[in-house]
Amino acid sequence: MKNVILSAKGLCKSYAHNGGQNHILSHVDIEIYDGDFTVVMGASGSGKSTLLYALSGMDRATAGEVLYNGENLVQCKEKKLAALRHGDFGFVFQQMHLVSNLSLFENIVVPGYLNKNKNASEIKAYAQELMEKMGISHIKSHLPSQVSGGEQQRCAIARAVINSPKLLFADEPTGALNRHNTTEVLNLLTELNRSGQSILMVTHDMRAALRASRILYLEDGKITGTLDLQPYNKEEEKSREKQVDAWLNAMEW
Amino acid sequence: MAECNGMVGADMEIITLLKGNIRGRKGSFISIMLLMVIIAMALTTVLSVRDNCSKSYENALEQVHAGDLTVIIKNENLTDDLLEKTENHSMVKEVVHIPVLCSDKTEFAGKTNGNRAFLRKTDDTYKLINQEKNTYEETIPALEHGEIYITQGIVTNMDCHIGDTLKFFVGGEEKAFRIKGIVAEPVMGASVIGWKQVFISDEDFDNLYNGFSRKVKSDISPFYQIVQIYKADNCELSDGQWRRQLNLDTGIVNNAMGSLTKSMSRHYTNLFPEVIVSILMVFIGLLLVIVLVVMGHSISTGIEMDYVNLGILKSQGFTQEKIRLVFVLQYLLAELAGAAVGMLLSVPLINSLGNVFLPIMAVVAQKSISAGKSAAVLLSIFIISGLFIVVITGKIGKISPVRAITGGRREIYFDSRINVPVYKKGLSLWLAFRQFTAGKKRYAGAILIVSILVFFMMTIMILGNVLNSKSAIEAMTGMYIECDAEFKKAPDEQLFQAMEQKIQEYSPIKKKYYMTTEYLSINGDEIYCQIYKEPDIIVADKGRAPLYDNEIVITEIVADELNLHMGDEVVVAHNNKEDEYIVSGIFQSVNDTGMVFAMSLEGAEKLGIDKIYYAGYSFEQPNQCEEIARMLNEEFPDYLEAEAAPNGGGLEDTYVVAINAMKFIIYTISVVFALVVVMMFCTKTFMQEKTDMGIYKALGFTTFNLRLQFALRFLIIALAGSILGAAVSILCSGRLLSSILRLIGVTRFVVNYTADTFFIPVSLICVCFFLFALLVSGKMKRVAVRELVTE
Repeated sequence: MKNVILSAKGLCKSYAHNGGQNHILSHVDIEIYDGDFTVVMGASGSGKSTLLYALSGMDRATAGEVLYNGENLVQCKEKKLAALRHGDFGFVFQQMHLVSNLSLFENIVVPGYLNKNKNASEIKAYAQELMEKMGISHIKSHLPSQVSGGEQQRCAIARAVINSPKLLFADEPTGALNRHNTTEVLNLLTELNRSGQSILMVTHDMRAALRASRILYLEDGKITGTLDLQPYNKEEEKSREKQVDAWLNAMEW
Repeated sequence: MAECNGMVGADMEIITLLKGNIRGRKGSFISIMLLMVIIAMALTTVLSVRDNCSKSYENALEQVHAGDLTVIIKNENLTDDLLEKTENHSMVKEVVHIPVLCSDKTEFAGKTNGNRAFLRKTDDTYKLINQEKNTYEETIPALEHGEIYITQGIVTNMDCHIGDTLKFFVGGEEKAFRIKGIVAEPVMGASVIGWKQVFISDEDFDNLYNGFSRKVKSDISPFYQIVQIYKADNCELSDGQWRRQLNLDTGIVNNAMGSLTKSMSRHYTNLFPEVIVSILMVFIGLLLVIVLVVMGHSISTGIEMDYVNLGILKSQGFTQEKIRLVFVLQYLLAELAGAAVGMLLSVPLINSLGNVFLPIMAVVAQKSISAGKSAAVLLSIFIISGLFIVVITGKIGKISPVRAITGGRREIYFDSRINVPVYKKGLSLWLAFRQFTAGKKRYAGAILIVSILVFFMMTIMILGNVLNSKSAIEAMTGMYIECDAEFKKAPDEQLFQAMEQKIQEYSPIKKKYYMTTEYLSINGDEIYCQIYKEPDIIVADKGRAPLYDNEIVITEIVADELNLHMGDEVVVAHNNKEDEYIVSGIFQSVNDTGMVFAMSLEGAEKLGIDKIYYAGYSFEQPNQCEEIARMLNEEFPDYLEAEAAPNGGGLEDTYVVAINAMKFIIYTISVVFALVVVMMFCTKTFMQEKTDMGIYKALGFTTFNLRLQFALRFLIIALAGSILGAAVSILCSGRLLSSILRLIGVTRFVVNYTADTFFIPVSLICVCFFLFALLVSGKMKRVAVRELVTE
């Protein structure tokens, strides 16, 4: 029996549009389990990113509730949400979004500095360890504009996990990368998941989806299907691909 | 017709773009407009007030039919021969002389003014100022017995009012008169001119005149004549040259107690307004530089942020000239709107400030707006701005339509990085510092603006400080007087020794002088002369003090006016006596706006001047000055009248108030400018860094953290600008003030720095920048992390 780390009930999100309402999410019920590598798939405009940001408290749902540690994030104050962002949650974006005037190392340590439970030298040591793990320690003092997209994304992942978050949110982390960099980033995420990191990733990339232990399909703002998978194993990638492909076809992807 | 339609089409393109740009950049438009409102309002007000003062003064001179030269001469010196020679001089059109009674000093409510006042009969050519002091009465009522009309200059200097009783000391007797009203007397009515005309009834004048004729001894004779001499119509000499020639030919000035040309009177009367106007005009000039810097920043960042749109416009066939024209029109329109509003707002300001110089100039100023002159100056500002915008928008030419359309915009967030670490402790401050160092070029404009504001605020502080600074006044004038005495009888060496002995019982004497003053002529030009018993008190800027009886020192202003140099030989004359002297040095004096020279008593004896009239002391224990003055008056009542000057005989209250008012205006405008500048810079920075703000929020920074970072960054900018401004002030404030204050005779301005000189302007600007940035960054709340989502 897996522990639910984050759940949502009746989650709705709509925007005012041309005098009417544009419903992006409608009454989504979802549970994210501890230690899972959950992937949300769906066509463009299906509301994947909106769901991710509503679940993470970065965006407020129009209706429904998002429960984390017994608290409804929809009603949390900004200060509480900010604390969750630098403590319990980590984020990886499609466009990396590193702070352009900070070096890669500084990009990683700055959110670490917000953590009051660790001192600066501990944070620096851990950042160094993460950079080595991500293979970017040799460019630690480079600025984001001086490194490749893959290196930037690896840095962004290191930044996301600097405070050892309980849940890592990833929004199309390979969307802006080439094939080689995509594989590297996915390997890193898989590695993190194997070491116990819970991940919720949004993607429409089949290769990324193969890394999941659970795939949710989102269509027109609703979860329309779920596929549970065995933990990822490179040797079984072909058969896994067939299985996911068949399931996605069934979902009319 | 087709060509005409084509023209309209081309114009419409520009108008459409212009409208779009203004709509999209309302903030910049309003900010530039607001800055221009302040500049146009200040400029129009300053120019109008100056013009009004000047015109009103000229009208007043015309009204009283003032002579080109006013000579005050003892009755016995104005011989028939001298009068005839003067009247018949080829360069003289007319000579008018009226009898006056000379009062040696004026007293009111315990306050004494040692300058001479001349009592004369009422003359209905002089206009009476109304009770509200904003216009003139139609008629001037006749005076009754015991009543007087005085000038505003006396009101300012004596702090008296209508209905008060003033005491005059005529021919050794005290005469009291009640003030009935204030008249505009332009020749010597200004508070900065020592002599004053006082109008009494015909009956009182005749009684006094006849009474004194019978009993007064000649050495304290109050009988003088005010002689008005009018220049011949065909005389093309300046007033100064004409007076010199007239004096050389007739000796009228040499025989007089003193004289005043119309030009001198005009110069002295307009002096203080000119100083204030000059300072404000320099300030307005600097504000204009600030507007240009703000515009430059706004345009540069606008081009960066609109890179894609501008590229698209280029791809659609817009030439860079057309796009630049839109920028020029957009900003000139903002300036034009601001200038129009500013000029309108200046109307009530001119009305309320119109008579701000009345206490000094003593004539009521009209309240018309100098629209033509202001518009001409504003037009030149538009031309400068237009050219500046053309230069700044040059970078539009470098925009590549292809790169813009394909989204290949260059990185705009920062241009360089200083490798300063970011620490956990004080994270917001370190991040703010990093953001600042990463975008130095972007903040260069803001730093320049702060430095200009701080420089000017410090300059005004320095001006204010120096007026009350003992060390600065001493450095500029040689001595800071804490007690002075006027001798009733010619003193001798024994009296000096006795006085000093008594003073030593209270405090050791730090510095002292015994002197007299006279108007003497140098090569025919009448100049105010200070004659010292011990001339080594004079601080010579160049050369040395006059040690021998054939030496004089002159001010730089006299040197320039008379084209004299050290080592030159000059002829100094007084009452038909003359001798040759050598210029031994250059010194500084603010008397007679710097038209001063000095010599030793031995030197003056050759011209028949051998009496000392004034003594001045400064003490090791300055707090004893009032006691010492009291003691001198008690011990030597028949010989002298002493007065303490606890503040070193500093400036009159009027000037201090005027300078403080100017300081207030400059500080207020600086704060408003700081607000507008911060708003503009913050808004642009905010737009450029919206994504970064989103990232920080996603990382767990709170809105308050980010606002604090933002405000700290502007605090750092303010500090950097303040350091630069302070450095510029240290280098330039003295020179700037010297060049402006040269008008009043200060050629070597001694800057006196105190902690406040730095602290007040710097802290005011820094606090304003910090608070305004914190305020403007309120919109940070609206930045959602969703900004980072790529759908």
